[in-house]
Order: sequence, then C-alpha cells, then structure tokens
Amino acid sequence: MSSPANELPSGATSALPTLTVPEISFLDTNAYALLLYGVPADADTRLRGRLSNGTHIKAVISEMTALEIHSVVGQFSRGQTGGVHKCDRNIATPTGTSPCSSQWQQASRKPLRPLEIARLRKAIKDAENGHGPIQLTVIPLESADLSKGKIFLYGHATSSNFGSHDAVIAAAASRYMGGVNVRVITSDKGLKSLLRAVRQQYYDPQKDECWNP
Amino acid sequence: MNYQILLVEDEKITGDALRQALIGETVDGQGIDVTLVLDGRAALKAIVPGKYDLVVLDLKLPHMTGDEVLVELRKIDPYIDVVVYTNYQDPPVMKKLMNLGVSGYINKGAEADLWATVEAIKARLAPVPDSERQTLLEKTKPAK
Repeated sequence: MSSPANELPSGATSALPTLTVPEISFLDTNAYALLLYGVPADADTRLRGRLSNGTHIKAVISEMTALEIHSVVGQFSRGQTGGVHKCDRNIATPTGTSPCSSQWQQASRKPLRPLEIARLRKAIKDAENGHGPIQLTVIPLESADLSKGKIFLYGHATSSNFGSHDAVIAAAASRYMGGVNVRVITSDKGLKSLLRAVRQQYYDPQKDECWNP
Repeated sequence: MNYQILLVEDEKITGDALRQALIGETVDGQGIDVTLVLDGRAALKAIVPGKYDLVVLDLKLPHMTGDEVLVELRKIDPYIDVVVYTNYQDPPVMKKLMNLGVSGYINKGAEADLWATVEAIKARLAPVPDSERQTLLEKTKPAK
C-alpha cells in the first residue's frame, strides 16, 4: 500500500529531472604549462577552446602540479650554463659495443631578472587564486592521493611508463568529485596509458584526442 | 581569494585612511585585504614568502628606515612586489631602492590624492595579461 506522499499529482511524470553535471577539466603539469606558454599554438588554441566559458579559462589542478610549476620557475631564475659534454653511450658495432666518441652541446639559458621572475610568479599566483584570464582551482594534496598513487604504481607501472608525480595526479583526479565527469587533460603517453587502465576519461590537446571509458 | 597587501606606514591616520579606501575596492572582481603595520620590524615579522601580493612601504619609519627594511625583506622574499609610498625623494636613496627591485613609486606628498593612490595600487594588483606572461616565457627558451 502506497502512502499519499508517494502518489504523483495528476499529469506529473515519475521521471526525475535530468541533471547535467558540467565536465571538469583536470590539467596535468604539461597541460598547465601549455596554457601558460601558449605553444604549440594549435594545441593551445584547442585547449583554450575546450576550457573557455566565454570570458575566462577555467580548470582544476592538483597541488602537485602547482608545486611542479613553481619548481620550473626556480629553474628560470637560475638559468642554465651551456657547454659541451662527452657522450657516455656505448655504440653497437658488428663485433660488440664501443664507447661513443661524439660530444653533445647543451644550450645556455640566461636567468630571468628578479623583476621578471616576480611578474611570472604573479601570473601564476593570479591563475591559482582565480584572478585574471586563466582561473584555476587548486586541489590540496591529501594522504589518500599518495596512497592511491602507490596503488596505481603497484598495479600498472609494470605495463605503463609513468612516474610517481603522474600517479599522484591521476589519483587526485579520480578522488575529485568522485572522478565523475572529471576529464584529465594530458598529452603524456604514460599517464594516458594509466588513465585508460583505471578507466578515467582524458583529453590530449596535442593530438586532439578524447578517450572515454 | 582576496588580494593581500602589507601596508607599512607609521602615520596611523594616513595608514587607516588608505586601508579603508582599499578594502572597499575590487580588482578583476576580487576584493583587497590590507594588513597595516606601523614600523619596519613589524613588517619583517609579517612577511611570509608568497603571502602578500604587494608591499606598500613608507620610507620614513621608526627604528629602521624603509630602505633598511627593504634589504631585510628581500632576504625573506626576493621577489615580492614592493612599491614605495613616500614624499621623501633623496636621489641616492631612490637609486638604492631601484637596485633592491622596487617596482614603483607612489607620491604621498601634500598634493597627493587618496583615490589616485588607490588607483595606482590597484594597477599593481591587476592580473598579468596573457601577452606579458608569454613574452616572459619566450625569454626562457635556450639560446640557439
């Protein structure tokens, strides 16, 4: 026997209204760098088209990605000394191997000046605080992400070539909103392989390729 | 998250007036929080790398002068954006300040207008445009 509360009024249907959950774009470190650099331009245009709400670029990143970007800015402030280095590989020959006799050139990179670093840091801080043209939500790292990342490495690192940072990013993406409608944005072959294995959707802006489980 | 300013000003009335004017303002839709400290020692205690978006620094302060504060402040946060807020324009001091990476100067002399000061500070807080960020990153490419 049904209670009056369960009876539908005349003319009503039993179907619940359909709720559309907007897709959340979860950037890996290279996708975030692509947004900041704007190159390659075709991949950047595709990515911006995907993330734009008409006025701003909106996306989510893990705190791990935020850390990695700040590490890169540190490299920019130190610059890089160029030089010539001896190749340390062994070359296959018809009779075995022999040490490579070649040298390779490492290009130099001038450090950015302090005021330039300050502006670059501000640009990143703007994005991570949701100010300006790129507006990101930074998901704090939790111990659960490290634990799940470890499980990903245990289970999949023997078949997919991905590192510990990628494992943590994949774990954070699958935790965020229960992973529902969360699409990881990445062009990293190893991370994509992991995401397929754990059935998490992704988009590759370099190849303009979407994968859905 | 609101923009965070550290205002270092020993004249409390002046500091309060500027703080009140700023906290009613927005930049790109975001509010502004102002921490007012009355001397350099308090400023150095308040500074945490990455916490503040801007330091507005008076030069004539008790205990330590503004340029002395800036030397110590740079040891804590080498990249924080600092603008000098003063009516004191001794050329050697200004040169020293420029060498310490002061990115701007705001006049607080008798002819200074509070709202012009607010606008100058808001301009410092405005988000970095895409084009400027990409120009900076272009410079990080290795030399050919």
